[in-house]
Amino acid sequence: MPKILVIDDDRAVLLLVQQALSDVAEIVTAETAAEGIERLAAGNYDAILLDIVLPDRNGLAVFFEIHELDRRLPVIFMTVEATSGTAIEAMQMGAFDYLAKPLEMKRLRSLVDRAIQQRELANVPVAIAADELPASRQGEIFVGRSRPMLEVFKTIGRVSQQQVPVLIRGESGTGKELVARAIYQYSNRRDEPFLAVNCAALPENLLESELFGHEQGAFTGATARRIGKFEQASGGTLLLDEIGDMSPMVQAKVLRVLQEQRFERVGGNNELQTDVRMIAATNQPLERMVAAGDFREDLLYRLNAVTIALPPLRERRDDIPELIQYFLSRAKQEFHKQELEGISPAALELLQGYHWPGNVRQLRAVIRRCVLESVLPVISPDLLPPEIIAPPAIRGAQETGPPSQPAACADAVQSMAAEPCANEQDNGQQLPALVDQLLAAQSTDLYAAGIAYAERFLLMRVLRETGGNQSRAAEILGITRGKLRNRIATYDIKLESGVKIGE
Amino acid sequence: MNNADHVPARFQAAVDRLDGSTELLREMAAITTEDIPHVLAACRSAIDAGQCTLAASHLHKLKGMLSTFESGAVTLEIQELVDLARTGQVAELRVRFTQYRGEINQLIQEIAQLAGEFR
Repeated sequence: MPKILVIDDDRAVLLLVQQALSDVAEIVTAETAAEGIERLAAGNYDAILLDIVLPDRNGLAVFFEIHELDRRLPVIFMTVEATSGTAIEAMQMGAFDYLAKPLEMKRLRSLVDRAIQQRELANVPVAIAADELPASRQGEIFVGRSRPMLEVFKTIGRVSQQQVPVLIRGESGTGKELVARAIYQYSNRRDEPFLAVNCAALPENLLESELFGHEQGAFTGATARRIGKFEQASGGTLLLDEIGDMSPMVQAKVLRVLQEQRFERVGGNNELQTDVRMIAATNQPLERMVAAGDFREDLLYRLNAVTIALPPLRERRDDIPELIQYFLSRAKQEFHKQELEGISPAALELLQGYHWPGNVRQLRAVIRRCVLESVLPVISPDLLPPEIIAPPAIRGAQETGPPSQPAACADAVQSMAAEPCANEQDNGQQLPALVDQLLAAQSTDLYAAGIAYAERFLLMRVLRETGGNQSRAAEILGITRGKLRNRIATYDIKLESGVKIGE
Repeated sequence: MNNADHVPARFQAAVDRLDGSTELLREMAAITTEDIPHVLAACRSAIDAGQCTLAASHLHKLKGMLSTFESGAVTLEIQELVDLARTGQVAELRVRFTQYRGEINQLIQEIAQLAGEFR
């Protein structure tokens, strides 16, 4: 049976804790700091409940002493002074959690249960250590040795020194910009500028000006001549990211640069010469866009001379452990988490099994958040986001209605909120029920879940209205096409025949 | 652990925190009734002697003990006393302590009654 040490000088609190936890743990009590430390040194415990104000010493000082004896021991602070300052200080020091008095039995049991689980998980050897990377790996651009990535590296090696445009294809978050930078760094233009433009982030007229520059007076607000990226990057390399979002008019001008290395500024008459190595990147099906008339076929032919296809993370799972180690090490240094040892086998298994719709970028974000929120030396599954913890059956659930036992199905409800709703006919009226269930399940992610539900419904509704036309949909929604595209990918909205989620 | 015994309305929130167990509440009341006179006396003594740091410590403990049963006006008043003690405002501390003693004693008596029904 787990063993809990409770250090508090209020005998009524000691009684409460004994009554609340005696079914699940052996409870040992101490009424002073000295007694508590003595008991701790004499026994093995799975968690400690510690009053911040003790008669003989400050509880925070006692915490340091406990920490010295066993860094993996979860310590839960208790205090009647539940100010934000105290809570923040306690968590900064590395407390597992913080209980405000008067104590509530439900909350107490839930927290201690979590602490015991964490203790069990933290006691296993780490699966991946958060060690500092060896010097030989410090300057690595890429992490990965899977076969698909080796092919990418080989292609980079073949084309980097050639004066040909490159088209990098891959889902969002796969590292397209990294590939572009690698091509640049291994090219003979590495001492010249590398510039990047996100074509989805700017409306057409601003994008044109950004790329080609403009003359004074070319349009309202053009109070001075502006030098565009094609001119700035002359001799160097220019990355056109999300090139699928470029309007046909700008596509035509870019094509001319590709063909002749010539262009004019907006509002200008002079033909200018440049010498730019162009790299384009996209996560969109350009061939389909050509068929739909949204992308120029001749431009695609020019860009397609060399194509590098980046695999989604789910197709290079062999690289996941190495990526995790890389991000762990970096985050440990960045957030000064010197005591972080690594990640547990259980957490690693969940990370390896997830399908990663956001790819490497998403993995990096998850690891960074885990490191930031970790209070024990080992990262365990409870620090992972709900969508990663939920079993595959629930992740892919086709349920349209809420479970009848929300408290018991908190994870299922969370997943229903986090994952795209599979019901095409969802009329957006499930939000109140969803909120009620998440409240009953004591969710701590209610805002994100609610916003996700509302946003998903809104996008689906507008896209149905426009028959899947994203340009029109973006206009109605008042957002850029790039942002719309990102949200479509996030919610896995398919625009093939009708608008639906997933499949 | 649910117990159908009646408790005064001011302790209902405490019962709810204990998952509805009035028996546990009464048992805790018995312990508190035993221990609190010493704590209250220590508060009084420290305040009378103008020992603010000591007074703050004892008042903090008093607050913790009483908040188990009721976390309303009385505990807010005790917190006010703690703050006065921590900022060394001895004169004001004495005045307020005298002012709030009646309510504090009233709560202690009611807790004792709760305990009395347990014994």
